[in-house]
Amino acid sequence: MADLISYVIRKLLLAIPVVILATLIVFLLLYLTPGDPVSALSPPHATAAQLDAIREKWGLLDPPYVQYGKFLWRISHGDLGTSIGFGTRDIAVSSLITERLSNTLMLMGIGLAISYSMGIPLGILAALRQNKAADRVIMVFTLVTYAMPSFWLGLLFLLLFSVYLGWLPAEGTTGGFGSIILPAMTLGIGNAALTTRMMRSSMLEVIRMDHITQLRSRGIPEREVIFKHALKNAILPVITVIGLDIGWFVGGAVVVETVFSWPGIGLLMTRGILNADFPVVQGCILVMAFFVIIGNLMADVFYAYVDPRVRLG
Amino acid sequence: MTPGRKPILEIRGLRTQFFLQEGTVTALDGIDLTVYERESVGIVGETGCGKSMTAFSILRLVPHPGRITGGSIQFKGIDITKLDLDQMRGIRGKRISMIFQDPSTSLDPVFTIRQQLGEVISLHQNVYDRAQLDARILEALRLVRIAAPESVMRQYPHELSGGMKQRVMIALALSCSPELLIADEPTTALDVTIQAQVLNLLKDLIRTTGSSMMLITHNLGVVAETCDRICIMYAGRIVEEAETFELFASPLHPYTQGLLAAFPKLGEQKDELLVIRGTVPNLMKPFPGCSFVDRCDRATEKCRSVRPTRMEVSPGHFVSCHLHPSGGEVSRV
Amino acid sequence: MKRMRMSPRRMLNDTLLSWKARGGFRQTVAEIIERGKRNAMVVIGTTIIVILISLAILAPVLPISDPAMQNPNAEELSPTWNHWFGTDNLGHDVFSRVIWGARISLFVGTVAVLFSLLIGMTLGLTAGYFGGKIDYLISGAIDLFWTFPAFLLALAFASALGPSLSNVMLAIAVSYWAGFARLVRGQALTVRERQFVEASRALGANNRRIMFTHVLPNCLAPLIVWASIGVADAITIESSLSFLGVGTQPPAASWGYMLYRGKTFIEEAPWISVFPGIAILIAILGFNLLGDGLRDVLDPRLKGLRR
Repeated sequence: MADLISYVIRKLLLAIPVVILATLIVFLLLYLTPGDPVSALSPPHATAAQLDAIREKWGLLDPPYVQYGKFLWRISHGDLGTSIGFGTRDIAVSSLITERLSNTLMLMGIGLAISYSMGIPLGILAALRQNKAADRVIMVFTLVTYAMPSFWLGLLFLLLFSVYLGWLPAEGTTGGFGSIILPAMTLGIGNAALTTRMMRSSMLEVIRMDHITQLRSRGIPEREVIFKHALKNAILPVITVIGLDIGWFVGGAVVVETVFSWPGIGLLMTRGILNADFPVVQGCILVMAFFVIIGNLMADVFYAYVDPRVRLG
Repeated sequence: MTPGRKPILEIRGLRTQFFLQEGTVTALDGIDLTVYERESVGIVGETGCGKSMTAFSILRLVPHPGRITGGSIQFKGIDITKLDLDQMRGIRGKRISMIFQDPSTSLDPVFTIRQQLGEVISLHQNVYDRAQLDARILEALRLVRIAAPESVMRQYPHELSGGMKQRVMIALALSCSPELLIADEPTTALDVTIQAQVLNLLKDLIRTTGSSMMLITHNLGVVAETCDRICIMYAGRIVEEAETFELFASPLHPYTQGLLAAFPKLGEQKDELLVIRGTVPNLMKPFPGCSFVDRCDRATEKCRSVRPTRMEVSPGHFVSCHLHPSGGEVSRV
Repeated sequence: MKRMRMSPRRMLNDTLLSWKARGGFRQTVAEIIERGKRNAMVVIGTTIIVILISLAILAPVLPISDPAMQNPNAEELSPTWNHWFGTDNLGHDVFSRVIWGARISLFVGTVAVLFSLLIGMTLGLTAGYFGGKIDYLISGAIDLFWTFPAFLLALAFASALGPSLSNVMLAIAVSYWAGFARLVRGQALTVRERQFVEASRALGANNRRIMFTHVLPNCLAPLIVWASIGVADAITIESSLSFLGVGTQPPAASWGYMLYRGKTFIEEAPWISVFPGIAILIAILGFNLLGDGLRDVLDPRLKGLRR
């Protein structure tokens, strides 16, 4: 256990430069926008006086490192600027984000659950029935679902379940469980393909290993050999990619929320883009970057918890 | 060989084949082998001759796409080739156990020693009480002379040295006092200094538990130390079988002679190491005669076309070679 | 978008060894093509890609209506004989726009990946060649960009830069290079390690040339696999970005853009979205199949059964 704690501390320390780099990139985004940075930060038809005021407020006249310093100071205090977009003008970006945070987290959580509860069993099944019918069907399924971009899969579900079958609502949170199921399924199934393939190849490798044959030679029943020993070994590589999966889900959430008008951070960002609301966009990107970093961290720790060999590394 | 000892394992005409896309590989081509109670039999041969496959066949662990295609394996009167997998599981680990070659890959890396030993003991000895189980685990670890069993118990395999891991393997194999222990190259992956320790441990333990041992190796030095009888295998067939001393004193089969001659002995002056010329035959092509024919200095035409039968040349000393046709019938002991 | 772990280092080593064993470059390529022909995925993938690229190139000469032509009388028609895929809200013929959209989507996909490849290769070679601090820095960057989802990065850049064809390509290129860099760096390190053995024979100035002549040919195989899958990923990213409104803009109407416009009409005129969507799916599938199939072909462990 002590080695696990030191591992966590090491990972936390390593995460710090990542966080700093992320903030740096987000900070620099302002300078990538076409034209004068001020125009990204001001509402359309702003007067010269207003522009000056905005320059003042955002410290655009300061030297770059000072600006960056102020930027870091602001965000560490939770100030992500104010929205300049239509309909949300002058509202603090951070409050816009916090009211939607839980929605996105809920969506991602359920999506992850769906992805893993589909992917892992399917992967195991495909491995145990290698090259037989079940395996081939599963492989084709993963191939096709992997090739579908999330937004298209989402639109397809939308068409099928909302428009044609009318079973589920097309947008918003009004329908309770019903309205989250489609976007979550879209995310979940989209990622399940990868999980399935990884699980399958991992399982195939593990069941050929010496220690599995050893276990059989000890008389351990086959069910335990597969589901207690092989599974625990095989699932490790799959868990290593949970962090990457989380990253994928964050990106996927943006798309899926847009398709289903699910009021989360992703939709906020998309609307922000359409409204040329740079502060909102920047705030969302920052928050999402944090999600990704934290998600990776949690996944690393979880992995070290499950596989004791990693704690040394 | 002491008369009156009962055989515990009798293999007759065992054939194991692998059905690959490119062809069929005959890993074992009609093996006859007997193991008696309380004895150690060594199986010696080069890599690929089928010695490990013999062990896997006995335990019915032949990996796909291989399977046993002929012969019988009688274990104390039961033909285990005819058992179903459930019955087989009752034998594995409990009545026949196996130690694998590389201890680093043979222990499950994500379970502690305690969990792995506990699993085997509770399964075969029906012990479910935690305290009792732990006691048995410690006992097993002490049996294999592990110094600090309480702490080793809680460790993971990767935290142990090679020698320790092999001892744990031995503990796992002997924890339920099997009647037959199969040791597949138990010392090959270990340092030379540890090898002797492990071999001595094995010898002592089987004497204590009264088990028989089948020791598989390519190292003649190892079997000389540990085994009562030795079988020499080549290309899926057993070519010679005798008591240890007899085999070393008068090897009959050209392959055995070659093996012994190639072994440099301490104190001997040698300019070059003797080598048996040629390479192992392709097990995919069936050959009617003796499998050693291309490498044998004294091969005759008959050797190429007629497969030599197993002959008892002197009491307890069997050879399959046309050079030694005396002794009459194939004797079934 | 993330990729499967394919252990590039092992693949590199295997490729290197097997090439040496098989007598050089040209013969190996011939062998690869031979094996490729027998692999179903490679065949299907290549067929799809060839068809798509042909359609894209031939678009101007095909007997299809002008994709930019708006026909107010023919708005939102469902698929008919005249308009195989129907028309959109402005009367454009969807079929024609899908075919012309292929030009954009494929162009963006391939060029973005090419840029990505260049960036990755340069950085990977630099890191491998110079070693030391430069390598440390570059590998740090590689790790960072590798674990961060490329789509988010591209989204961040594209949203800042503004929607346009070139911006999308740039955004993707900057987000996707890490995979290529890793591959090339790994191979460069392997070569460099062996170089040190020969260094005692004072090869001096030849180092640089050897890096290029040895490293790149040996990377070629896995790079092609990665690039093929990369095009699939790039098309996915581009269409997603366009769908969100930060991708291509008319007149460069990619498939993603068509879906961006089509979403509002999903209920009354779903064909506006469905057909470009299917096109995207087929394109991604094709490149994925090719990449996966090639990976199977190039992995020397493929033959027969082990053990």
